Amino acid sequence: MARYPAELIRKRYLFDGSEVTIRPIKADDAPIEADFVRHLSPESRYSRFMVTLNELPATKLRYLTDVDYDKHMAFVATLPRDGKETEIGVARYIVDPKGASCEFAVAVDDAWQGSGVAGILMATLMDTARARGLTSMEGIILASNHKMLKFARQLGFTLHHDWDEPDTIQVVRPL
Amino acid sequence: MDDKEIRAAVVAVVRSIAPEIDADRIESDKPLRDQIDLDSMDWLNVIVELREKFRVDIAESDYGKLQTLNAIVDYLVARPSRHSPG
Repeated sequence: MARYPAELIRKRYLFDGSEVTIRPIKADDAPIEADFVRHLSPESRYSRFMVTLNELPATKLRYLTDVDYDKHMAFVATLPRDGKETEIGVARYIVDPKGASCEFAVAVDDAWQGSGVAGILMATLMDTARARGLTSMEGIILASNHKMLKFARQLGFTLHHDWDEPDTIQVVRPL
Repeated sequence: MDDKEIRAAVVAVVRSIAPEIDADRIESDKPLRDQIDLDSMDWLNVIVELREKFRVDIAESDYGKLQTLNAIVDYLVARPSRHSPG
């Protein structure tokens, strides 16, 4: 079992003053990750997974939470709600087989979109990837997701259209 | 800089990020992001610009205090500038 990188845990603040914990995900997070996905709007869920689903299958949930912190790194943003830790966002990267670049994915609870949490998660993810020697990050975004495409541009990603895949756009940035 | 000049400078910063806004229609005691279409990265840029323009340190833990035009002006008035604003 991979060592939990507790040194990467941070307290951060959103634009409304809420304090959030940004920390690497862990296998025990399966219940809060499942709740998080369940509470996403159908649009947000589709934007993230690019398939229609209501519940994450157990195998997918395990894949998303039981990561090795090396080839697969993920950070969650959590805050306390009704006495329990609640996930409001998650960002991850998977290192490609050649080991120099990685592919990211990010999702934020609909109620917390615009709060600044996505920017914090992505900055954390890019800093971590850079610190580990990765040289570029890329992602696949639905061509209809204008908000996410603008966000990627603001983060320094460039957009690449593949006319064989007109429904999605590849975004890439050096680290 | 007096309060009025600080207010005008803050509005100028917001306008530099959202040039389409009508500055005369900003209600000073209502959250700016409820009045102007600023996404989270735009808003972060406003804060970065304020930090540079007024040469002040704005801690992330203070972001929650910067909701309205009045609140931003009050915050900047109370903060010691590192240098004269440029």
